[in-house]
Amino acid sequence: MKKVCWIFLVSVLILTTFSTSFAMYMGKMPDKKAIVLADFGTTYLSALKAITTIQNEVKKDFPNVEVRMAFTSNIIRNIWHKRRHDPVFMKEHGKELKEFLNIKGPLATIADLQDAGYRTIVVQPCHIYSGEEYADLCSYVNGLNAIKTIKAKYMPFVKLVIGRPALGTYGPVHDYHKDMDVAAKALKVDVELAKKDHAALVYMGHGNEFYSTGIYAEFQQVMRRTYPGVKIFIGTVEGFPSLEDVVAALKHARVKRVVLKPLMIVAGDHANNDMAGPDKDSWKNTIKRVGIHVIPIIHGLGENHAWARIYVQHIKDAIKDNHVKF
Amino acid sequence: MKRFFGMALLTVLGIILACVSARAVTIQDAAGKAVTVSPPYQRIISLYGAHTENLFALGLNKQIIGVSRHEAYPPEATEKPAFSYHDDAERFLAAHPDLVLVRPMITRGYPNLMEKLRKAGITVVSLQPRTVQEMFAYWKTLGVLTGREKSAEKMIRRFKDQVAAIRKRVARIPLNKRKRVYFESIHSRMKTFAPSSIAIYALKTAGGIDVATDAKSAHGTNIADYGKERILSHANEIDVFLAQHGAMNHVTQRRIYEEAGFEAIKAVKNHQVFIIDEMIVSRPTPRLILGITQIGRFLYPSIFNDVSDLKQARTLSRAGFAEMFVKMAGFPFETPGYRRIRARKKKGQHLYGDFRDVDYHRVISAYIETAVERGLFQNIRKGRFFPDKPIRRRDIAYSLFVGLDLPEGKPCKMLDVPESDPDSAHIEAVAGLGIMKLKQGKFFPDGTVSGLQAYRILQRALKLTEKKGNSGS
Repeated sequence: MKKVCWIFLVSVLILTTFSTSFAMYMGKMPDKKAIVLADFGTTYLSALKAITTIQNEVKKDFPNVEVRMAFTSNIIRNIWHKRRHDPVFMKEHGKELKEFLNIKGPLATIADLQDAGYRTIVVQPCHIYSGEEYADLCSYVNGLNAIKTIKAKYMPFVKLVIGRPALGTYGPVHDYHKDMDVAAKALKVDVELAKKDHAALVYMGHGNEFYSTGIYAEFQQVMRRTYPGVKIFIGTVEGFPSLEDVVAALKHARVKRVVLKPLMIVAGDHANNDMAGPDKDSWKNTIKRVGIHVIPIIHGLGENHAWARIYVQHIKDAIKDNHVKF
Repeated sequence: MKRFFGMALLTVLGIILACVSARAVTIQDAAGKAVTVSPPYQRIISLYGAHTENLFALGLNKQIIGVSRHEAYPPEATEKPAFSYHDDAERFLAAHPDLVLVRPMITRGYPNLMEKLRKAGITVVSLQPRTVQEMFAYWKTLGVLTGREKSAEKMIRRFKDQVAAIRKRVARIPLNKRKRVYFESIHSRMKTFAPSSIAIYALKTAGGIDVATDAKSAHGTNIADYGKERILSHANEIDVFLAQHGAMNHVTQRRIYEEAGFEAIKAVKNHQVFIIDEMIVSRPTPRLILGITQIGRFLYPSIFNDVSDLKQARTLSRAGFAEMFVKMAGFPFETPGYRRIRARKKKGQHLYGDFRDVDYHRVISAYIETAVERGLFQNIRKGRFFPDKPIRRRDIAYSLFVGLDLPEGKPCKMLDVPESDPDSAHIEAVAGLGIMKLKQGKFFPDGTVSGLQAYRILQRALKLTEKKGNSGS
């Protein structure tokens, strides 16, 4: 019996080896699986935690899948690349941050993976909502999916799909209202912090000038509905609702004290300067000007595990929706 | 008879004017080349912010018909048509300038444009001083070119007087207490300044000791290569790590604190890393005085932020309070930035340099503008600060609330401040903490204070923020 087993095992092995090499000979490419986490990026080591938290959550659920980071900001990538030539940095952080030293943009990251035989790739943006950056990323993915080779077997990708941002995106498949409910629940810790301080909670989102940012106003309503006990306000650096809108609302609600937090993944320059900086136009000082106490909290949403889990779920949804075999 | 005199006078004046305008003078440009010019020029385009600033300082608002694209100061400069060396020569010609002021970087990079302008009969002069001595000669040259020799002399005299006053203050610091400083010019390339540069002059005048005296100037510029290893070889000596910030160096304190290896530097360990605007330390303009003063404030706060004079005031003025607050809180000088100006312009708000009742030749202007930029004064109307008006108690309460991160005090009722008062929340917070006292339940919001009273109020407020470990700076 043992012998039979052995013969069977060996023949299976031979067969697989042969068929693989045969396939390779014919040009058939292997199909390995990968996840690309696309993020604006940061150069501050102290802010990196927000990004690595998300990364670790994803790795936990996909232990056998290659998970790679991609930074969309050219400036930030350049700074990381320069660090490769800094012997002191390399000595101190070279090993642990190796991945970031070679960080690439989403396009190059996808191409590298494809080159190394990863032909099933899920791109997951670590964005808050479906805005300009997400639209651009979709355009990259769509562009690559437009490649049609003469012979189907030479198609560069088996599947190249994109997950949705935290607050969802348009379309009937995943109701963005439900995404907002999940996101609101993930922010419970912030609400409790404000509650403990008997303060209102004010979020500073990024927003943009080229897209409607109405989702922030809608999300504010969802937050208020989810946590009726605390006054919650959401504004954006660019777009609607603006800081002026928030200040007017705070005055109207006779708020005396606020906890101010960035509604952004990373607590970088926006959080340190635009939100809590010393300039009179910073969010902190603009709110103080009307006589309201401000408690700034400089932590990115990425540091919040519940928020990081949202992206894990969106990867799983992208896999399921697109019938990707992982 | 009277008429005859009048005619004679006019003729004489005419002759003098003709002589002046026809006068051919030889000056030296940045390359050391002799250039023959016929001043005074009346239609000037400046392609470098420092030239622009100096021309304005010489009072040539009318004669400046064009400026570079990224002007930050004075505010009038931002209203002039912008020119660039990327533009076609025709664009310049259409504006009919008689003088175009450039710098060597431009003459080297755009020889064709220079040639076309010269061929069209426009005088092109390239200037860029590298040392302070050259700066004085450069100011004089600008005076010659524009017929403002006297104003240029005055500018030099004023600068030298201000430097002498600073030196006098620095002389009080014993030599063994002088701070050793590394002055960064470009973070990403670990560059410093050449020992002969204007920036190092500013550092030394403020009483700092340059640790990178062995730095060699790169291509005869102000900048000098240094490298991380050499910086770290001085790790134990660097009391203060100073970095210029601007187009050349987009650095933040956080980046320096987090730079790999820098944790060994004494200044990093002791939280003595400071950022200063390149425009007030690297540019050959009278604002260099602000740069020197600010470096002094970083290095020797007890001397440069001394407020004993202000404490003597029987009734403290708004200007006096601005200076006292900015000094005691150690707020670094705010400076006008190009980006900020563009953002503001839309809203028609106050711009650094706009106050008609503030003397921008004096350092007090920097304290006032810093206080305004930090939002310490409310209801700032365009153009007027009212520096000599007394500061009211309500203004003080407001500025403490906005300028510092105060803890919350006990709620308190003030008989003379109704809730409808726009400053009531600020006043209640400050009074509730005991920073400003009530007299028989009254706050006297429109009352004035003496220098000593303001000093004590600020002292109490700053003490409360210290406990929280947050000075708001």
